[in-house]
Amino acid sequence: MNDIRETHAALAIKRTMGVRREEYLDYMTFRRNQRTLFTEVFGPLAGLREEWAQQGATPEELDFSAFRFRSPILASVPVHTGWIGGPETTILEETADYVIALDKMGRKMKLSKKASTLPLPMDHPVKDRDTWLAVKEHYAFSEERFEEGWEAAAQRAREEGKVVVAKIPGGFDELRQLMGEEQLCISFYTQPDLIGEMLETIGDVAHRTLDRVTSRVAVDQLNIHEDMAGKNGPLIGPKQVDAYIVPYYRRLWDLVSARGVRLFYQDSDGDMTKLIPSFLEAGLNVMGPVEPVGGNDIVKLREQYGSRLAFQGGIDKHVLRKDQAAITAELEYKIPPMVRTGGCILGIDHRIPNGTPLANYRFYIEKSWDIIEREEAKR
Amino acid sequence: MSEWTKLYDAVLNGDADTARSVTDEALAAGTDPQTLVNDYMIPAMDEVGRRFEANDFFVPELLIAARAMKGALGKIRPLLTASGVKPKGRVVLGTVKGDLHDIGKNLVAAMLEGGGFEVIDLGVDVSAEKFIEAIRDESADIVAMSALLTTTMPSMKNTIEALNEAGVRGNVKIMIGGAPITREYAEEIGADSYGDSAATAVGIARKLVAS
Repeated sequence: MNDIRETHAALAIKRTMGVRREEYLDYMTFRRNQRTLFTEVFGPLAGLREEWAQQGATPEELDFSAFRFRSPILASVPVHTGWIGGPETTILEETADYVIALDKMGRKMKLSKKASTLPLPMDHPVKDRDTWLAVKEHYAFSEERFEEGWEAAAQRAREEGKVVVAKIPGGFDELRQLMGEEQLCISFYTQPDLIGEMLETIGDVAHRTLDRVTSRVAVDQLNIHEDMAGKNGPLIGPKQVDAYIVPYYRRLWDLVSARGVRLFYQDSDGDMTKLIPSFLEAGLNVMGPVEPVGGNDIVKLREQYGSRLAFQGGIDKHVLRKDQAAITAELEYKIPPMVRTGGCILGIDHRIPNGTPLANYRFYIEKSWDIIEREEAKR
Repeated sequence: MSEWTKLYDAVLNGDADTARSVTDEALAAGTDPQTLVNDYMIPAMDEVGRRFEANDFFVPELLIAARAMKGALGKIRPLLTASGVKPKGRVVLGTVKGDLHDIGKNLVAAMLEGGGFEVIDLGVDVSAEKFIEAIRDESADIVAMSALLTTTMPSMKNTIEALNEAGVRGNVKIMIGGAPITREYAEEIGADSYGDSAATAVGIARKLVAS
């Protein structure tokens, strides 16, 4: 293994463009709802492909090109708004069960090969202001943030009908990468000035980078990765989000939305319901993957927030391991309201779990389209 | 409960400095250490758990409260040990084999300590053999297992089977929890209880010890 993230990359699925950017943007902003969008958000968990191969999956089923989806292709502008620099990732140790590597932040990362696709840090570089100052240079603005040919790449993607995406570091997630979850949570109380300073620095460089990007190319969507909740709720509460995270989001969203960026998408697992009002204030208008295991219910959220909030995901992945009646019940509950109201790329709420029979996945795809087309025909 | 209410408030509000100084003050005044734990600190952490369940508190508030409790307990525990006072129970805790996630486990550990339990934290990626060794070495009452990934849930089942084979299953009660875990799964693999959150873990552990 040359890279600790190789497992994650190996699980990527083959995607084809079913929808051009104009339709996607209108659909997700509730301006047009002619045909429903349906996707596989992430793909399989490690090990599922092997299970399906034993169950007789075709090569096209294993790369997912056999399954019918209707979704756009997203293209990220090749610029870097977060941490840059640091050493190349080095593998320190590898066994049959795990890989340990040193990453660009100087963290020792461990990947449990049989269980996960993403490595987890075993230590973190920032503990206090002195250790923050030691790494702060990685958030300086420089020309290195712009990959060669970035403008042409963004323009080409737009001409091809792809959704042009700019990414920014998560207000929670980036600090978590630097400090670790517990140290970060405690620091909201013990080192509040440090939290403010870090977010201001990260916001400064993201703002400056996005300023150049959006003044030269047209961007459609701003993406932010947070993963800041579990099934019992978010790791931090509205108090911390309102005080620290919302200003960070708002400043960047105000810049790019004034230059035509229409969607602000946040990726976070877990139950985010307690934080939705805060994030709507911050400008967010799309959330995913809206995990039912976290207590999220796209039908109820749609009733509550209407066209202020679009979704990606929302269908319970665990139901795929149950029987056809359970799969049908989940789809019959979730799909019709989304077909009626639009603003939702339907799909399961995270990676397809191991133990999902291939026959169930085939049934899920066919049944989803049956319901989508039945409901669309009613219009 | 009025005399050292400042200790209750300090733990509830996560004020570690005040929790330690009030504890010093109370001990110097001759207050029974057990009274400080049972009448002020545990009720404060119970209230933290209640507010956490009600979404008035989130992880930062829980962690700073646990930190304040730990600071005060650091001053009291040697006195309790010297006088032969036993904890409410001894819990061997860990995230199961193959799983490297620790925040859920750590929150459970903090709440159990706050509830008067002694917690032996085995860390993450804990093998069945390590659990068995700890049960024997620590004379544990409870084994608490955590998993965040669906792919590591089977490690819980494997661990329980290993405990059976090693002949130590009857010595302990087993509680499990984590994002993909359900009550049905706990029953299916032969665990004694399932915890839905860090806050409910304390009540479950108390029931398990009493049963």
